[in-house]
Amino acid sequence: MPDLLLTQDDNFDKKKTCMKNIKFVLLIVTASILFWSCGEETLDSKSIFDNDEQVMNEFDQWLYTNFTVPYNIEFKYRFDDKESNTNYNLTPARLDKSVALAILVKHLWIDVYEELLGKEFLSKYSPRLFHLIGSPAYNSQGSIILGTAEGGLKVTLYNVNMIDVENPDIDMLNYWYFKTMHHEFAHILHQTKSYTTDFNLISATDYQSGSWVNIGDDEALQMGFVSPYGSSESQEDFVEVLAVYVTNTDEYWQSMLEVAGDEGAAKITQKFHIVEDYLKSSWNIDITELREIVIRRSAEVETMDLTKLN
Amino acid sequence: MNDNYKNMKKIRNITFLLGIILFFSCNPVEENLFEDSSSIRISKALQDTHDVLTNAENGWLMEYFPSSQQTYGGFNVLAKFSDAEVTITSEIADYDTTEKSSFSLKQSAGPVLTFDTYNEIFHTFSDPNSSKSGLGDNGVGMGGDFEFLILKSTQDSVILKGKKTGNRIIMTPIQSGTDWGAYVEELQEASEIMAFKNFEYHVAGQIIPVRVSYRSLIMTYTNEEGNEVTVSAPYIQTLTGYKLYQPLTILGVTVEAFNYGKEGDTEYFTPVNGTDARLVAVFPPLNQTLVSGDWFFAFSGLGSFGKTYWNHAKVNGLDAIGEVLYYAYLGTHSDGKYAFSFASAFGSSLYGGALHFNYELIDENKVKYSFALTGAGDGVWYYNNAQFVYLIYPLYGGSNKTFTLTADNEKDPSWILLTDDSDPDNTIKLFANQIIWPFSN
Repeated sequence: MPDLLLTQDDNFDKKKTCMKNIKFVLLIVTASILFWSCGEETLDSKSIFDNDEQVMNEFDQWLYTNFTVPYNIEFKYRFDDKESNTNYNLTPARLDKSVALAILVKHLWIDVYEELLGKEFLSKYSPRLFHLIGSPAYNSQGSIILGTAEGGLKVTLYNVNMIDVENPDIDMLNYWYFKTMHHEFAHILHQTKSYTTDFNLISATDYQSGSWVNIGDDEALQMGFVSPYGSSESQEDFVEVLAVYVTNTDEYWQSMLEVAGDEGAAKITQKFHIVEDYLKSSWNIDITELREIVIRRSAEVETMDLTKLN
Repeated sequence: MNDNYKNMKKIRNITFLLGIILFFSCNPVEENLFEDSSSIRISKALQDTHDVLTNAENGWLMEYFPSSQQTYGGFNVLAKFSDAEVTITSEIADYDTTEKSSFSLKQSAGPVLTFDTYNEIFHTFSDPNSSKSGLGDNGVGMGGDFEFLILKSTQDSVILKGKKTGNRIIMTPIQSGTDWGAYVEELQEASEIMAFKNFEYHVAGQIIPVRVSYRSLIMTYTNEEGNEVTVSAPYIQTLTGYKLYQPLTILGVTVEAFNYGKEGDTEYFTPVNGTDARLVAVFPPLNQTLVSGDWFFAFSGLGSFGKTYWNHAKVNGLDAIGEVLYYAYLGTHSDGKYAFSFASAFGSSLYGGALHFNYELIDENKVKYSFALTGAGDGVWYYNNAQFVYLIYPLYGGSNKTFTLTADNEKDPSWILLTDDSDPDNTIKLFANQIIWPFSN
């Protein structure tokens, strides 16, 4: 009965030896299986994902040189269902309108930030994709969408087909596109670095959610919002302050404050100071300098030829 | 120990068996079902489709049906594809204009053809701004597609499926030598000649009344089971007649397309496949035409009697509440009842409603109207608060009124004039086309 004499430890050691043997056998078996089974498989050097080949036209080439290479931005002017919101009925953008908008985006947006902060800032924080849509997106409450941003990566610009290429109306362009782009870019900034929650307290009980469509311009100002859309919720409020401020003259801003009345103006000014401090401390952006550049460049649009790529 | 040892043994045996199984199950050479990778096959399929599209030297005739219900019927679109550009014309545009834009072929859920930059002609069907086509609700428009799954592509035909609507769209090559402009002009002429509002469909020994809505034949009949059914058969205009979106089977008789014909004063269509059936154009009496359609008011169409009453409603009703009448018509309101139906604009908001009317048809050209004293939507509100009783008073004069009807063209009137039998100053001209802002028109 030698087995009975074994101690606990011996038993354990024995087990270890067995395990070693098993491991060894397993290793041999596995190795031989692998050796036989995979002998003749080779990998195809071509990727299976690269299907959408497109002939590059002059515009594509220009975009590649001016947007993609320096800033890693894709400017998608062709309608792409994968990038579109299928809840809406939309149309593609016209080619000539897309060309005009690309020239304008470069002049009034990319070059603005580059002038202020250098190339690196945009190549790091700019949305990676701009997608153009010819029509507006119509909401069921009767409002229309001008632009949307998703997670700091993508900005969609709507209603591109209404741009007048021959006689660009800078106020309209600022309202439709550049205010929208500063608005969306501001979302990217605050999604990257948060602003103080003190901002949310200024109009805490006044936010309207979807009912913002029922608020008139003057009414919004008197409530302490720079625009009706700003009254929808605090994040929109925050980015609207930035967008409205940088795309309008000081004269306009002062007239807004006048319409707003004492109470409204106080709230707007309080919000503005938070935005101003946030941009300075988090991004080293002087908002007034930013506005000066935007306004100077806006004035230059009148003499630009929006039909020629150079 | 014993247990342990048994376990070891078991594991060893299992490992050994596993080794054998794996060794035999693993066939060293994988047979590929296809010669090339999926990527190469997709690229090749797209390239083949591209070749098919561009090889048709005089382009393709596209039978395009917008709207997921094909509500508006079909439209002929002519499309010529080159490397990355497509040239488009259509019967909805001037016959001698073409528009260029881009197209792409790409892989999505299968090969997809997309018209991916805006084309003034082609995207009319999908533009959500309803003023572009004049049809549909704002935000929807005609509800057409510009992205299509390619179901089949050969040099004889390409079959597409709209991504949103699921509508089947057939393209056939246009014969070389066919002049696009002349072809479109012929189509437009055919469409004018073959425009009817009502038919009688003679089929299987029955006569079924047919109403035309846009390019759809709406038929209501009693089927083999004895149930009353309504079918809608969308069609597209051809040079010789109508081609249906899908085969129409009524009482066992199937038709795919009709040819137009005319004998004396009778205009009719017969099935292209020779089946025994006949679609005969009928022109209902004028009073029937009036009550079966929607006929729009314009201030300029009112006689002196009506103008006085409408002015009163404007000054004391609409102006007082800061609204402007957006449209008003006599016809079927959205509740399905015959009514004076209207919309009133307050800023950019529209409020709609109706005041119900009863009618009695007398002979072929007289109608007797009386107010039903009920309303729908905001109808009663406007009756009580915006003096709308003055808008409808000329129609019934407090109890009822009988009118004699005349029109510019009895077969296809663009307007109908109602003349009050008891007061020649009370005339009302109603229009077939929608009149927006009736007080300014």
